[in-house]
Amino acid sequence: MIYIIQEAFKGFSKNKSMNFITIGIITVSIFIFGLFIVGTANLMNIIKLAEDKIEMIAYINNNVSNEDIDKLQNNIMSIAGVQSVEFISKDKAKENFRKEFKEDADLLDVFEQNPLPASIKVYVSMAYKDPQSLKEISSKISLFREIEDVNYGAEWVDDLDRVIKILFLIDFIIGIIITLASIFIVFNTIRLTVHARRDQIDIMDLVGATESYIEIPYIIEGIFHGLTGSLISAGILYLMFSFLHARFPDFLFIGNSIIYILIIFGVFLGFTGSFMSVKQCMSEIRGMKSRKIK
Amino acid sequence: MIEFSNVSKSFKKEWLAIKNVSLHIKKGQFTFLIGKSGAGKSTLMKMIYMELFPEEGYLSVAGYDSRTIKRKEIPMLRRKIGVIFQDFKLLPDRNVYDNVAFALKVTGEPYRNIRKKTLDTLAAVRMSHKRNSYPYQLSGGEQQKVAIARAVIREPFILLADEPTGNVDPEGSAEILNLLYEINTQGTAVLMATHDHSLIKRESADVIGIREGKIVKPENIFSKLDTEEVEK
Repeated sequence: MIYIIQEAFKGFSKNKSMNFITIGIITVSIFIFGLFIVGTANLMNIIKLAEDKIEMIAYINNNVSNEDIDKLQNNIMSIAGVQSVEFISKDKAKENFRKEFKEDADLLDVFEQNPLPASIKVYVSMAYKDPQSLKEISSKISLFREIEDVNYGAEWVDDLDRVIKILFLIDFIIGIIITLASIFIVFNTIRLTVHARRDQIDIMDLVGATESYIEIPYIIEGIFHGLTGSLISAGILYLMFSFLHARFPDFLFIGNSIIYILIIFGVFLGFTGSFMSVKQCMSEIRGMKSRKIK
Repeated sequence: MIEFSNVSKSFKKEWLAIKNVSLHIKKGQFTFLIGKSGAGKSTLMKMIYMELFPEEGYLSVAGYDSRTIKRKEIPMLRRKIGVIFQDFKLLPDRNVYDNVAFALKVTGEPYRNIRKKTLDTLAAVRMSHKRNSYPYQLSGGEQQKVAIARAVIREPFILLADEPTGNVDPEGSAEILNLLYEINTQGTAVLMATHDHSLIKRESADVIGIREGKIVKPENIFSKLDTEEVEK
């Protein structure tokens, strides 16, 4: 046991340049992976912000009594996907209009009566903010005879939906490429460090070291490489995104959870990479055995 | 102790490296395995430490049978066998002491024993004074002595020496041979593969000839029947 630990650290101090390169490569791979995750998180955030902007307004016919409006609100509330409703009276609509079009607000004075209809603002829950559901909700609301028209920017919603789908697809493809590339690069780097010490494995096998004795120092080393690489890249990402976040508050850095993901990813790569490499190296050394043994 | 029974082994189809070999190596015996390069000496040795397995026949080594040994048992078998090679196979990034101690460390020897055993073994091969040197600072003969120390430190019942003097000057060769004899007198069997007839000076040694994968009388390894070889 003492040997195993000693050997793992000896491997570390002895091959300084090799370790440096290995950790460097792991750091870069995991850094890119981390950039991707933070990028995806920000993309999701932007999409959410855009979807928040989707609003549905149901315009009410003139001369509907307050009592009926209350009933109407309750009825709309009972539609699946409707989170809440807000009644906007004609006066309130006028006030909003004035606020929105400060200079041109005088336009309204042309009319004898307030031309703006009363309306009900319908807040749709997040899960229903796709074109299909929005269409269904709006047509259900249109069925109430008190409602004159429902507007939710159908075209804009369709466009947004298409953009979101494309972005997700691109993000997904990039994600797969980056994940596979980092796995491939890290595995190969670790494989090289193990193969560089093939002679040592060969001699251990020759003098009767058991498989676990041969493998464990390399695996410890691999985990250490993965851990160090991921810690460094997580550190750099953290500093980078804290800086960006301070400048642009809308920019998301999802903090600890991402750091944990990166560290777990790094340790996982280090472990599996070294485990598979040392197994492969041993079977290569043992070469073509004439008989498969149990 | 070591028993080959009708062992055959081929590397590529049609080319038999070992053909129907049966032989017996007695406990504590010094045996020369003599034959030209490519005759199958190394293959026989690799079979003894179960790096290679027969395709036909079987062999038994210290109670382990090549047909039934499990992968887990191979390290245990190897701890009872010392092996040295023509190219020494020392680790270049470790000094003499660490190269020898390595064999104990990686086989789980209790830590307190390692230092004493390593120093004792280095003394036995007369390399104590160079224990802090690195392999590249040593002559071929010295490197082979370190390799011998590493091979015998676990007190194996047999030492397999595959052309141990191949990369050693004549003076060093004599010393290596003497060392092997010494180890043998302490009870360890030695099986030494060589192509060099002149090394066989010890009368009490057994001599096994091998030619094209077959066991032959030692005087027949360069048989006159083989006209092609004579021309060379």
